[in-house]
Amino acid sequence: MPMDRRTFLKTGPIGIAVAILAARGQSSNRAFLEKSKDFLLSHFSTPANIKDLQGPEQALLDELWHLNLDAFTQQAICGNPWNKSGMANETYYYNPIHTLIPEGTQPAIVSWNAFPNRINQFFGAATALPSNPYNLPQSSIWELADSGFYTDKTGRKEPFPQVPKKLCPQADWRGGLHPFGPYGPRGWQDEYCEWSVTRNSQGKITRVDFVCENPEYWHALWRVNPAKVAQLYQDTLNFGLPKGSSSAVTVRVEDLQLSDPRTGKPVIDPSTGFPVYNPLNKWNRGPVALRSGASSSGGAMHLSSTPNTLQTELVSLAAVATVLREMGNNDPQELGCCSQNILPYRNSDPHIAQSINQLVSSGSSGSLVSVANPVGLYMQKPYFGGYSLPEDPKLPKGATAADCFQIVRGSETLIDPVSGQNFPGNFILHAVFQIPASWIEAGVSFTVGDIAIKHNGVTIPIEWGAQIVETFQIGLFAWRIPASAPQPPQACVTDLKQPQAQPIQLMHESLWNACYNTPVDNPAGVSINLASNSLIVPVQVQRGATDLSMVLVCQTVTLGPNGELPSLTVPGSDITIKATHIKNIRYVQPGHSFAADFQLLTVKVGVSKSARLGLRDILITNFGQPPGTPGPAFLYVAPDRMEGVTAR
Amino acid sequence: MRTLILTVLIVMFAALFLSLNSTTSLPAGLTNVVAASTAVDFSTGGCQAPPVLTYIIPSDIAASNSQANVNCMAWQDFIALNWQASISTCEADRSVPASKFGQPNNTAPVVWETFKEASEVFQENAAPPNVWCYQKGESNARRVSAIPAGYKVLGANVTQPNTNGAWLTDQNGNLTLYEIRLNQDEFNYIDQNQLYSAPIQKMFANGPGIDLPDGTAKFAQYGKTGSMEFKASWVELRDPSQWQYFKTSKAYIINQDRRVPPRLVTVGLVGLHVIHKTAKAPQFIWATFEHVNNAPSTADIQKNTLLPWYTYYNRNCDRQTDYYQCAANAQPRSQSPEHPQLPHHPADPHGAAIQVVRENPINDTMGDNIAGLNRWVWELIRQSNPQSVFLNYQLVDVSWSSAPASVPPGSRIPLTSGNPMPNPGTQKVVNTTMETYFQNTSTCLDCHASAPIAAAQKSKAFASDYSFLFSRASAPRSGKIVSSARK
Repeated sequence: MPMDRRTFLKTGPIGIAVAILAARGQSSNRAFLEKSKDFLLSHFSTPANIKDLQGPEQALLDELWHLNLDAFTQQAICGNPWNKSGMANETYYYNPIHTLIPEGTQPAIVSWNAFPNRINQFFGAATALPSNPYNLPQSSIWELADSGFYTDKTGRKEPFPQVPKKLCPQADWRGGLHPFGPYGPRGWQDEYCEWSVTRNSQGKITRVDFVCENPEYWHALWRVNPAKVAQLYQDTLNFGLPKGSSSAVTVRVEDLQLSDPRTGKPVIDPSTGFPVYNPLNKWNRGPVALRSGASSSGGAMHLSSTPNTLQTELVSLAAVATVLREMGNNDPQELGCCSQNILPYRNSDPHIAQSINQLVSSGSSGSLVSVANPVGLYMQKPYFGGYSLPEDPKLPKGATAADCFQIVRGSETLIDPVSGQNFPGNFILHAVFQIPASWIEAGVSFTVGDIAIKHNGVTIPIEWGAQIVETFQIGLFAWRIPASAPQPPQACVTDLKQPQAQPIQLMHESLWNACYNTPVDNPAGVSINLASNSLIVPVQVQRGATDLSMVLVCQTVTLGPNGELPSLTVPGSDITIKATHIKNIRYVQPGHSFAADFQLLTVKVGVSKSARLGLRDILITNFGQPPGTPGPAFLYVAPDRMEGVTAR
Repeated sequence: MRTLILTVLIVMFAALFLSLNSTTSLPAGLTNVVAASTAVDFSTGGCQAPPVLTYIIPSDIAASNSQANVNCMAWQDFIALNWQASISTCEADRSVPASKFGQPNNTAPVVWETFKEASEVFQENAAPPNVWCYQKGESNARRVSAIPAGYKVLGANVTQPNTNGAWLTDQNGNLTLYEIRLNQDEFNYIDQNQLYSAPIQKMFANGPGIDLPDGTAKFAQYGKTGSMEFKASWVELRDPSQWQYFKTSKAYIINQDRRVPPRLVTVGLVGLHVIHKTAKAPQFIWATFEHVNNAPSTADIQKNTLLPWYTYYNRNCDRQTDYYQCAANAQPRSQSPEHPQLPHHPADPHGAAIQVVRENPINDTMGDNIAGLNRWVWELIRQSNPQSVFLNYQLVDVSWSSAPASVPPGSRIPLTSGNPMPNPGTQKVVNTTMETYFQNTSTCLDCHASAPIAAAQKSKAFASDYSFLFSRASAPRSGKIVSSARK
C-alpha cells in the first residue's frame, strides 16, 4: 500500500533531503567566501526563482530541482565519449556549484525571435536562402505556425509540405524530402516558445497563452503536490478573465494523470507510488484552447515539443557549444553542422550555440561558460511599436496594447546573484495576451482580434497568435568566467570507429511501457508516442529496494558472439544492475526533433541498505570491450526506504 | 600619452559612476530637448563592452553576437568616428581630449567626414581616385574650385532612394542634403583592385568575387578596421543660435540649377548611417543615428510626450495652411497611390515642409533597450563634456544578422540576409531623414542583399557584397580596361 502523500512528505526519502537542505542554510542563494567576494552557487534555483509551494513542500521541490540541474550539468560536462569524437569532456562548461565565479562577472543574454524560423525558411516567400519551392504567403505562414495547417487556394486545409532531409552544409531541396517536424500536437513550435489560441464564436482571437516553461519543472512540481499543479493550471488558464467568464475552466488532478493505454487506469510511478503526470494532458495539448463549458479543452502550460527540454538545452546544446572548432565560430550554420548540436535554420539553437562558442573563445585566455542561475528559458517583453488599438471611447486613458500582454508566471526583472544587479532581460515564464478585465468592465467592446500589428508596413488585425510571437524574443543568460588557458580547437564531430555503448535514458519499465504504448496525435500524421515526451532525469531509488524493473535506452550496443548482453555497473558496488533483455526501438529521444534507432535494455536494479546517497552514475560496457566512461547521474539514491517502492 | 591616460581615467570614473548609480537624475547639461525625456532607465542592456569615450574604432562585436553587443558597438563606432579629426591624417586628432568631444560651435571635421566621399572614388570614365587623404581638395565634379580644408560640398544628392526622386524639406524650408563616405579599408580594396572601373568589377566579381575587407589578417593589406560606409543627412542651419545643438560643418551647397553659384553655409548633422563589416558580421552591422529633435514617434504623439521643437515636425501644424495638409511623411504618388500626399510630385515646391513622424518608435524593451543605452551613453558623454552636441544624438536601432554567413566568391544577388535582427517583419531599422517615405516597407538588408555590381542586369547580377556604391562605377572612356595613372 502506498502511504498517503502527507506521510510521504514528512517521513519519506526525500523528506530527509529537505532536512539536509535546511541544514545547508539555503535562505540565501549567494555563498560568500571568507576572504573574497567570488561567488559559489549553493544550489540551483527553480526557473525565475518561482515559488509555487510553501514551507516543506517548497523545500522539497527546491531539492528535487537542484538535483535535476546538478544531474544535467554533470551530464553536460561529460558529453558523449561513447560514440562521437570531439564531443566529450566538455570542461569549458562549468558547474557553478563547484566553480567559483569571480567578482565582477556580468551575465550575458542570448536571445532569439520566438517565431519558428524553420517555417519561414522552408515555406515562406521571404528571401531566406536556399530558396524553397513553396513560397507561401505570410498569412499561410502564420496559420501554419498557429495550427500546423494552412488553407490553400481552394479552401482546403493542408498540412506542412515536405522538407529536405539533408540540412548540412545547407538545405538540399534536390535530395530526399520528409515530413516537417518536430511532430507532436504543437511540435513545430520549437523555439522554446509555444502558444495556444482561444477564439470566440465569431472566430476572433480572444486570448493567446504563451509559455516557455520547461517540462522538467512541472514533473518535479507534480511529484511534490499534484493538487497544487491542478490548482496552478486552473489559476493560470483562468488568469485575468472577468468574473463569471464562460471561458473559465475547472482543472481536476485526474485530468493531468497519465492513463495506461491498455487499461485506462492511472499509471503509477514506482518512485512515489502515486499516479504519473501526463505532459500532454488535455490542458496542455495542441495549439488551440476550446472554451465552451464542459467540452473545454486545450491550452498551454509548459513546453511540449520534443526538443524543448531543459536537459537537452544544457547537455546536447550548451555544453557541446563550449567546444571550440578548427573552423572558428563566425558562421553558426557551419559551426552547428560541425558540432552536430543544432537543428539548422532554427532561430534558437544555431544562435545559442554560436553565442556560447564565441563567449568561450573570448578573453585573453579563453573563457568557461555556464548557463546562469536560475537556469531556464525566458520570454522577453514584446516590441509594441507596431501595435495599434481600435478606437473605443470606453478605453481607459493612457491604455496601450502593452496592457494586453500580461505576465502570469515569472517576473519582469530578477537580480543576478553574482553581480547584485538586474539581469539584462525579462524572466517571463507564462504570459497571456488578452483584453484586461478592467477594460471590459469599463465597457470596451473590442477583442484581441480587433487589435492590429504592423507587418512589413501593413497594419493587420490579429488573426493568428503567431503575429504576436513575431514581436518578442526568448532568451537565456550565461555566466562567462576566465579560463586558465585557451582551449585548443578540435576537429568536427564524427562517429567513433570503435564506439562503446552509450547510456541515454533510464526509466522504470512500467512507465516506459505506458509512455511507449501511448500514441500521440499530430497534424503531420507521423507515428510517435509519449516516450518522446518523457524525461531524462535521475530515477529515484531507495536504499534497500530490490529487483526494480527498469529500462535503459542505449545506442551503439553490441552483443557478444553468443548474444551476450552488455554488462552494467553502478560505480561503488552498492547497487546492482543487470541487463536481462534487449530489443531495438525507434523513438524521438526526449530533447530531440526526429526519431532515431536505439536499443532498449531491460534491467533489474537492487540497492543495498547502505548504498551511498545522492546522484549515481551508470556504466554500460559492451561484451568484450574495456570499461568506458560512466554516464553521470542516472540514479538518485534517496536516504530511506519508502513503502510501496519494491519489486513489481 | 598624457591625454590618453586622462581619457582613460575619465572613462573609468564615468563607468564607475554609472555602475554605482544606475538611476541617477538626468544630466543637468543636457539641452532642454533631451531633458524633456520622461524615462529614467539607464542601461547598457548587458553588453559585454560598454561604450567608452575614445577615438579607437572597435574591430568587432564584443564576445558574442547579440543585440546588446551590436548596440554598444554601434555607439562605440559613433563616438570614435565623431572624434575631431586631424585633417592631415584623416584619423582622429589624438590631442583632442574627451572633454572636447562634441564641443559646440566647432565646425572642424570629425573622423568620418575626412573619409572619401563616394563620388571621389567612383568617378566619370573610371578615373582612378586620388590617394587617401588627398590634401588639395577634390573639386572636379563639385563646381567649387577651391574647397578649404575641412569644408564639404553638399547638394548633389537631395533625394532618397527608391522613392522616385522624393526629397525631404525641414520645417524651415531647407532641403535635406546627403553624402556617402567610405573608410580607408574599403577604399583601399576598391582602389587596389581598380573596382572603380565597371569592366574590371565584372571580371573581379566573376573571379575572386567582391568580398569587402573585414579587418582580419586575411585582409591585412587593406586595413584592420573592416569596411565601413557612412551616409549622412544634413540641413542648413540659418539661425546661429541653433548651432550649439548640432554637430556642425561648413559646407558649400550647390544648386541643381548650375547657374546658381554655390553658397557657403553652416550645416547641422541630422542623421547618420554607419555600417561596418567585421569577421563576426559578414553581412555588416547596420546602425543608424539621428538628432533627437528630428521628429516625434507615433508613440510620442499618442502619449503627447512631444519635445519643444523639431526640425522636421511642426507641433502646431495647420491643415488649412500647410502645403501637404500636415500629412505624416507625405509621399509621392508613385510610392503611395492610395494616399498621394505629394499631389504634384515632382513639381511640388522644394520649400514646402514635410511633417515627419517616426513610425517605428525607439525600442525600450529589455532585450533591445536602445532608449536605455542612449541615456547611459549621454551620461557618459556628459561626464566629460556637459556641453557636447552629441548629447543631442540618439542611436535609433541596429540591424545585424543572427545567422551570419560568409559570401562565396562569384555570388549573385540576392545574397543571404542572414536572418536579421530585430525581426524586420515587425520592427524596421530606419532613419526618418533618409528613409522617410518607406519606414515600414523595407529594412537595411532587404535592399542591400540585392546590391549589384555596376552595369549589371537586374536579375542574376553579380553581388557587390551588400554595397550599392559599386553600381556607381563607370567604364573608361575608351571602353578598354586600362590601369590609369593616379594623380
